Amino acid sequence: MEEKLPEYADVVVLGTGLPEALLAAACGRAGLSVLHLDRNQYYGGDWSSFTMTMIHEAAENKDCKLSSEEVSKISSTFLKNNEKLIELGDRKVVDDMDIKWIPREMDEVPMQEKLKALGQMRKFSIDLLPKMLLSKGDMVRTLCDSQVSMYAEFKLVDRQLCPSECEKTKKILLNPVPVSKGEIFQSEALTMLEKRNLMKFITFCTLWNGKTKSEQFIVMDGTGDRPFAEFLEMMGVSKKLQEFIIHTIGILDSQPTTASGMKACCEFMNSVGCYGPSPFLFPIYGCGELSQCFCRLAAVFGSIYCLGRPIQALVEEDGKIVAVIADNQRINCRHVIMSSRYVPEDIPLQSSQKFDRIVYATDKPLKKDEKEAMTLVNLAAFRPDSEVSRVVEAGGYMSTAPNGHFLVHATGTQEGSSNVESLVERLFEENEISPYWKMSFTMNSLKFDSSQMGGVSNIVVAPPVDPSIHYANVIDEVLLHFSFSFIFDIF
Amino acid sequence: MEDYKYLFKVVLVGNAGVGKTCLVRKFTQGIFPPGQSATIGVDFMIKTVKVGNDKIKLQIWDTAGQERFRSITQSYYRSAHAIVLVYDVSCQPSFDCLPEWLGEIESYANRRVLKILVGNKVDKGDEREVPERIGRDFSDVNHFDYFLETSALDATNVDQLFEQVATRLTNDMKITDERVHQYRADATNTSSSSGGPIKLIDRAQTQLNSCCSRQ
Repeated sequence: MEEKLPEYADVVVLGTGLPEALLAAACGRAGLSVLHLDRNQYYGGDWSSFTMTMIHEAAENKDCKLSSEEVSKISSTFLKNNEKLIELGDRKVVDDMDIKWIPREMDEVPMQEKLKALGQMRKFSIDLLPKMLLSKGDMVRTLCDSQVSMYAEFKLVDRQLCPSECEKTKKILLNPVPVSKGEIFQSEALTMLEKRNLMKFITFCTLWNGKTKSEQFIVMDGTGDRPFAEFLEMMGVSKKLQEFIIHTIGILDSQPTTASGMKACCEFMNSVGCYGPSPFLFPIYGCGELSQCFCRLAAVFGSIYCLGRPIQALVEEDGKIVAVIADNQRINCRHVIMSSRYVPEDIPLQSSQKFDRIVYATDKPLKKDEKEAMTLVNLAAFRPDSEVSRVVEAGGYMSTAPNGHFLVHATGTQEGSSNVESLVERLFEENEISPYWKMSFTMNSLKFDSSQMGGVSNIVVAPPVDPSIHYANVIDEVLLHFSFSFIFDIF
Repeated sequence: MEDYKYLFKVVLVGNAGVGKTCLVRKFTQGIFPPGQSATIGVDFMIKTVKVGNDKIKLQIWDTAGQERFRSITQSYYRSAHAIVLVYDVSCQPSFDCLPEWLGEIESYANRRVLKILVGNKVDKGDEREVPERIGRDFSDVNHFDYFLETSALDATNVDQLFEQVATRLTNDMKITDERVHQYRADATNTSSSSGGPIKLIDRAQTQLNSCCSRQ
């Protein structure tokens, strides 16, 4: 009883990653008819979370390229006069995937078998791209405005650790970063005087945040593009406190200028204390939930969902896409939104950035504490040349692994000589942690200019995956695309 | 604040056209919606029922049409307290698909979720393709907590279905509550304030309310 796809939709969306899901939901809410398709059997594309069983299946590559016979068959079946077929691409966003179980001497029964026997493979939720939500950030606001927040639950990222090298043992020490006022006052990292000065600086930021753009500009006194440290120096902040501030906000911006540093300080401070001491939230069951939640919203507003079918080509006429060919059916449409994966091969890239992702499964936490926590470690101090180097540990507590198990996610951009992988493995070794499973891959942030779509005007390419810790870029770009292409307010 | 003892999330699944939406609308609004029009913009329906002396709120979620191409999101199943799996007694294929649905439930739902099997459209008399005994057997073999045949058209067993769901969930919850109480009493030294799940909307609403109340 295979149902047929609809013959027409105002908007056809290709790919169910978070940006596409957001756009689909926004279109649905705006009253447009939406058909949302994905080549994968699962939701979320490169933004998905997988169970341990699924990830091994999903890692297998399927070729989506059409043969020349298929192209000519599709052309002769579906094309009318003056219409041109444009084959869809199958660009690699996740690449060089390598997954393996690591045998350990301590396991009498291999962990893979043990987890299988206990039925716990399904309890993993392995994120391709784990990101956090700033409590007062754009993503939380979008979730609340759209009421998608109803579909998901979150927990605080309740532990931030800052690594430093011990002078004696040369081991990496993981020191807790105090973020809330209470934690700062209890912290031994700062002297009483430094604490008082820090509070002064926080008050200064709060005042600054309330000012208009031009007033802010005057306060920065032409130092907007200079390193943030210089500005702090000018403000009379001590060296040690400078380091503390820059490190704390470093998770948002590793090489801040005065302008971006002040922005990050304000974002960080606004979010602290909003839902708890930590400024960051993480979705229970992992980030893959978010795209599904937006898809649900789209569906509630009538969008039609069909996954796991071949998505073959676009039909162009007079500089506009007039139809999508999927599952050997023609769906006429007015707009096409697609993830970067589907962008036709001959469209030039605007820019791209590769970053490393490594995920380990362990049964011992990075650092033992009274209670289990979701942990964020900024490794920037050990890779000063790189834009992003961080580790996120989420386990049973976040429902992303069975109880007593942990997923350790390392994310790092590729500048500089060292890589984030060797750093994490050093951490493991020094703390006598032996992961039993490892997955490594690269992610490719492929950017396209929606105005350079080979002379076609009604294609929107959704923003790509990016290595930043939060969703600000995604929301920014989605808002831009949506208001530009559809002239509506989002949600 | 509204006064209710518990709020339960109940989700419906099953093939397209088995009458899931009709069951919900009959129960919550007392109407049988004519035609096959999809309900746009409706996420879930709420009805308060009484179990003993307690007011229980049922939040009943529909599939939003995502069952049509078998693309229900996993997150739909996540926090459900009860799952009602519906088939059409006059449509054998809808019964044949049950194992697939069970597979999804087992993969994504909480292990302790209350599972209810419902054979709908018993009003169709002569057109019945699935005998009651077959449905009941399937329910027993697959460890459903409850099996019932219903008709959203003539209201057969519709109220009973949801009352059963409410009663069973309430009883289970009371047992858990007692245990938690016991556990809290046992564990004297633990801080219980942090670590719980956060619903973003709660905070947004309280902030909204506090803004309003200030004026």
